Amino acid sequence: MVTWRDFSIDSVQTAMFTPDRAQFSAGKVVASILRKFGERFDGEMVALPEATFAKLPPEIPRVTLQSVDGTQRLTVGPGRLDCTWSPTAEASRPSLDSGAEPCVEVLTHYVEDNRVAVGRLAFIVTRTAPVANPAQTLIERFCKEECQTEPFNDSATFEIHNHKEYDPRPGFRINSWVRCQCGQVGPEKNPVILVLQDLNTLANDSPADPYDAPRIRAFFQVAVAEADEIFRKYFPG
Amino acid sequence: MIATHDDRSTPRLPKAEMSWEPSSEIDDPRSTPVPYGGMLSEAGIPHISALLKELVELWNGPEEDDYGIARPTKSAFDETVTLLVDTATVLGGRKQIPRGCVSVDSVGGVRVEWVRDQCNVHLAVPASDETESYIFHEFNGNYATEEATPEGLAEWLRRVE
Repeated sequence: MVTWRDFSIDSVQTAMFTPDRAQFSAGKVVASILRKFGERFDGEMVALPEATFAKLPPEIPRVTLQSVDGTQRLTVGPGRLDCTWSPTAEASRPSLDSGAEPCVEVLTHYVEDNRVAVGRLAFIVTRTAPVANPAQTLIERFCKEECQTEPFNDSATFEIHNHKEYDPRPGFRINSWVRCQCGQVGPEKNPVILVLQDLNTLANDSPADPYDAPRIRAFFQVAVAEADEIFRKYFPG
Repeated sequence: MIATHDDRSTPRLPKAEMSWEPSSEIDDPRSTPVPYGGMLSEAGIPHISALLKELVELWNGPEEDDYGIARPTKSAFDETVTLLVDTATVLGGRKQIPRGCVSVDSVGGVRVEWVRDQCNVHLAVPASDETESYIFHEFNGNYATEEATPEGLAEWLRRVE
């Protein structure tokens, strides 16, 4: 049976939603990020033409910064900022915290340097495990024996998707989504189990009480710990 | 790249054609919306990374050298990046920011220069934000200066090969 040890991290994504869009300036954001993380985001910068800005929803990024080695990517728009980390092929099973930390650094710097108001936070992790038959493995893990006989016998694809809303720590109410599904990776289309976790603060959090840098760090510390703990419950061993 | 879409399933009807509404993670405000990525990657936008890289190297380099201050001030760094990025977005897909050269003056201001046989365009960003940035342009012997704006810089850089 597959356990949490069989999985490796595919990507770690941290996201902030910024309701006060009037302040946004692509140039100022890039200046702020490059001043502190210029050596990190040393790849091509891509920006949308100004003429298209007015037609686009604020969630669509106006600028993308990335690292030459492909491990880090930052997309920024008036309504949202995402910092994503992916391990290199040579990396030896990095921890979730080691992937999240560089992303959180960027987010908190952006908030402090630009004095933006943050209304919502999200932490998304994807992990994969190579498995010969992902569907049957998931069925054996999550379904009662009688269901494995029928109706889930010989399933080619299977997926579970679970959502909870709870307080991992006093003062933090979050949504926690876990999605376990079948996937394929690489040009050879090797079968894998893909697990996506999405931990986010509630969408109706009061904009009058935005997240500042210390609260942002606290949320992601909690999210990293919770993501690992939840994941090990889904695939114990 | 992980593929999870299965072409053995039936493509979904548009919502407007359905008589019922499935519960969907995508529409659920309790999940994190998937970030848009395709539009940006397909936009074909000019890259100014080489100039920004030079500027970052100066920012992270030694504070002084034999000729004086070698590192831009924070104000000059921020203003230069802002002007270059905003100029790039004004130019849009019609023209790239041309190849140029970044340097620091003796007090920490920034110069970005586009020098060609028949023309010169210089962006001068002062060390202090108390002074305005300006553009110097020279084409076929005619020269002038003007206040630096993204629109103005874009207009002159369109003429530089």
